[in-house]
Amino acid sequence: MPHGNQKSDRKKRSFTVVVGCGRLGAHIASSLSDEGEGVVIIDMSRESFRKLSTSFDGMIITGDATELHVLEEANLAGASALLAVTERDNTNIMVAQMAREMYGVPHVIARLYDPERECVYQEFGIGTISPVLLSTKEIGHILHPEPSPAEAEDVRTW
Amino acid sequence: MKTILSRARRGGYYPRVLMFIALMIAAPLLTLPFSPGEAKYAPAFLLPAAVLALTGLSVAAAARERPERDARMWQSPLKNGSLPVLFAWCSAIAAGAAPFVLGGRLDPIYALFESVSGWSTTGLTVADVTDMPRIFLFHRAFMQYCGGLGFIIIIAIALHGRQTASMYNAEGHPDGLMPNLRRMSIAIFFIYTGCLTLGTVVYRLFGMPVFEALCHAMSALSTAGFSTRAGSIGEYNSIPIEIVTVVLMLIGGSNFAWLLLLVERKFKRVAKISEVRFMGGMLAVFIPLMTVSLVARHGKGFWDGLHNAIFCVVTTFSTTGYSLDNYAVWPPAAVGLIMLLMVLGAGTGSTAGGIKLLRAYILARVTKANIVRRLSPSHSVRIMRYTRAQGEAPIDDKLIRDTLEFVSVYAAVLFAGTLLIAFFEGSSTTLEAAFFEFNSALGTIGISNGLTARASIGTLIVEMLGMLMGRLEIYILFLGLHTAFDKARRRLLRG
Repeated sequence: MPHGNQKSDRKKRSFTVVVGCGRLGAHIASSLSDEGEGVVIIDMSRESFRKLSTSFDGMIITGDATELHVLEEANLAGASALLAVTERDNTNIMVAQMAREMYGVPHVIARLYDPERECVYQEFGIGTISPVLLSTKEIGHILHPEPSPAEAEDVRTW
Repeated sequence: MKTILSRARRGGYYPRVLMFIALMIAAPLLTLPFSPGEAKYAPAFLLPAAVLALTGLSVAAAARERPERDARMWQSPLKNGSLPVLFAWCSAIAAGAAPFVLGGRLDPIYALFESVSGWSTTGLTVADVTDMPRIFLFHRAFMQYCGGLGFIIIIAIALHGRQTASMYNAEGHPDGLMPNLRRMSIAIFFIYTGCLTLGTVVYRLFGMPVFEALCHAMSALSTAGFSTRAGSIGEYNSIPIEIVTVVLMLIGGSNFAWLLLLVERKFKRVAKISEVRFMGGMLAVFIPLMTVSLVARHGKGFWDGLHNAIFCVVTTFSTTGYSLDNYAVWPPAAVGLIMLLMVLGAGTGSTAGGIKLLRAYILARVTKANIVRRLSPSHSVRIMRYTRAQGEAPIDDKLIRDTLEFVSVYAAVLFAGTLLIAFFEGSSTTLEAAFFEFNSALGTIGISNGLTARASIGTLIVEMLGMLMGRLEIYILFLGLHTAFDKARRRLLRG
């Protein structure tokens, strides 16, 4: 069992770990790197890294982020934030939990496609981004530019 | 002033490079307080530095602000970075040669040779160091130190730009080991400067004068091999100094990434790295072989043979090129071993040249796998993996293809260069001597059999190209030239 918390007290947490180099992951990693932030990106397949911009200067790790040694390699104990944005909800939730519970990463954000799973994340104090909920909200705004309070309530509960 | 700075930032990459190189050329002036008699040479350094700095500033001032072109992002990273890197190296070479000419020490072509040999960390020399003023000796050593680190690392420390990453890759450095390139460059810089300080102090403790200690430490760390003495390290005739040199050369021949791990005290991870093991194995094979060939065929005593062998093996494979002895009189078997080591080179992403140990290691693994495949059932599946500083990685088809391609291009260049030198030197040399000398230039080693010192202009030019290719990993030269021609052609066509 790694003792991430002790380690992190000595060393300043100073970079972001992005798990999953899909469109979202690659885009976030590239723009963070362009801003001069430290970035570590993890993906299972080497091919997916070509989506990164050529100016990406962070660290690239090929491997399964649900495996401990990969997270160790990424030095997760020193990370200031973790974004779990793979295409699979289950992977995201597991990586996010590991980051939160074992390494004490301060900011953990996961993407999930299935809104019903959101309650799981809330229990662990993990921030979530759900494309489904976001789209729902946006579509609601487009269809009803200035919804009455009652209608807005409708959209949210739907 | 502020506007100039903001304009310099806006002018893109080129002005900044020029200004950095100006700083590097001006650096030897720092030795003047210690040897005031050489003040007359100050203009020889100030003038090129001033010209570079002014050019940089005026280019920056003339540059219009233009939006970042996103189309660039779609090009391959290597192609993208190769032109700026080539530009940096070419201007540095021209600027590094200028002081020798202006100071009246060398003719232009010889000055250029000395400059290429310096920046590319080779260490072949056409200069006579016995009556060279200190400021020039420092200039040579400092060029090597900066060339070993690489311009892009130095530039990456000072600024963060969108292009830095692709240039960093183009210059042939290790993959990202830290989440941020700038932090990694700073770490590398500190490790090297730390080693430099330590090396200088230890040399001094073993009786080397301070100035020579500094110059030798700079050259050894960058695996370059310019010495302040005509007889190189051998002139001190001191075992402790040899040991210090061997350690410094080994540090220089190690991948930056290993050094980072060592500094973080992750010794176990370092011991697991395939390339480190391969290096250990290679030392364990070549040192006894060299000892035997020296003892049996050169009439040396065992201890004499052993320390000569250790020094010679380390100096050759780390591509440094310091010498204890005149290698030209060594027995053929020993010379053959030296040639083999020259081709092998040291760690990938270190300051060394050659084909690099990692490639040799992968070739060995592929050869073994080929034999095993022929012996095993046709349906068997094998996955090859190797360990890098960053962790395990598969040896996949792409890696194998890149390795094979590089090795064959390297061999082709080696043969072409050898033949050219044999042609230029005519009957005054043998093919073996030409091969030795070009091998030494291409691998950026710098051990000479004496051919370079009396070489014709043609040979010098061939060797210069060889050194540049060796330091920048061959491809980048072609890619940079191609990009440059491409750009020029497009501009012409557009009218």
